[in-house]
Amino acid sequence: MIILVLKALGAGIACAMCSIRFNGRGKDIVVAGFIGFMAALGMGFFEGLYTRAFVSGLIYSILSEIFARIEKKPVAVYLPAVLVPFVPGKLTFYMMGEFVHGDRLAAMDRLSEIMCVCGLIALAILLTQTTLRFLSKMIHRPEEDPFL
Amino acid sequence: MEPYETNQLAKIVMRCGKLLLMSGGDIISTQESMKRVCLSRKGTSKPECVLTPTTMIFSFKTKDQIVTRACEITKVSNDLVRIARIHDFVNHCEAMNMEQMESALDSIEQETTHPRWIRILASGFCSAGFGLFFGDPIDLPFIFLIGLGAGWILTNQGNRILLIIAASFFVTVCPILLEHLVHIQLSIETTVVSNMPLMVPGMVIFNAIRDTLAGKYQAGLNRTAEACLIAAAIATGTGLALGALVL
Repeated sequence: MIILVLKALGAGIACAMCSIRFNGRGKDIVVAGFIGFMAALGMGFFEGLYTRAFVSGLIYSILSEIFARIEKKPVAVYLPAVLVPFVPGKLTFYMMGEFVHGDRLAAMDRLSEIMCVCGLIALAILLTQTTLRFLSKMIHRPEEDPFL
Repeated sequence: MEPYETNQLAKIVMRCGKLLLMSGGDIISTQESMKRVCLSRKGTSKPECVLTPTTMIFSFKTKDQIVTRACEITKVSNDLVRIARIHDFVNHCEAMNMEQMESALDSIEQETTHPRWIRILASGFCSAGFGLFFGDPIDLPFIFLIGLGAGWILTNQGNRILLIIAASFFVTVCPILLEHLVHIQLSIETTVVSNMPLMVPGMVIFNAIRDTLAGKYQAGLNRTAEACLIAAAIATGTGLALGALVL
């Protein structure tokens, strides 16, 4: 558990620093760090590359949407900075190593893994945004029939 | 609406959109913001907006004329503060007159970025954070120092793709040289991977997803191509370093 918290702390620091690199200020940096921490902590309870990618994607996209609504800021202030630590950097490094050593089959296999992870992250963000858009439409315009 | 007011409004709308796109905003938010600013004035109707990540065409109707403006976006950066401030401006523009709107946009335009040394330091700490995240606390000082170097390369002025190739070459070659020449026991893999995310185009990926989701496929494909190009640049730098060491 301590190792998990330490890793999550690392992700939090990385997200906060990414926010500074994207010219974030004040509270936005802390919030980005917190979202990164929670996403890394949440995904630590799951096994499997794809499940972890999807769960982390869901956690940080939902938290970013929540904080964007609380702080009355666009979600673009949090999500791009939080997204960075969860992209598959390790797999890209392995892939390049395999390409350089001439093992193209293994490299292509790794590439398909990378594409799957990226796809799952995108799917998590897409699901969250679509659901929230649908819900906010229902809340703001109750007179409209959502099925029409 | 008087003709000079129409011109002033067109200028404000275009400035707002241009600032948002230049700060790394996505197409759908920019489009909505421009339409909202335009409709905040009485006597305007039918705002039409054609946007790509590098081009803006905006048109709206007043009582006796149709006003159209076009603009090219030449430089794009990542600026979260500007995005937040433009969002705030768009939400409050109805209560402002034209002069107040112009001065608000002036103030957003004059917003400064963090000094370079802070961005380099943030890169170092960012890499150290990744080191902790990837479970390698022993090598943190080296990861931090290599992160500083990569941050220095990435914050230079120049072609973005070339800078990314140089930075990814640097972060791959440094730990290998440290181990083989200076005989410092490092986890090469974790050290390299901890520094990789500094080059990851978070904003571009986010915008690609958001634009595609909103049905702006042209802009979405444009951003996806940009993200793929950056990913290829990272892979090229890493591949060059690994290939040179194999030889």
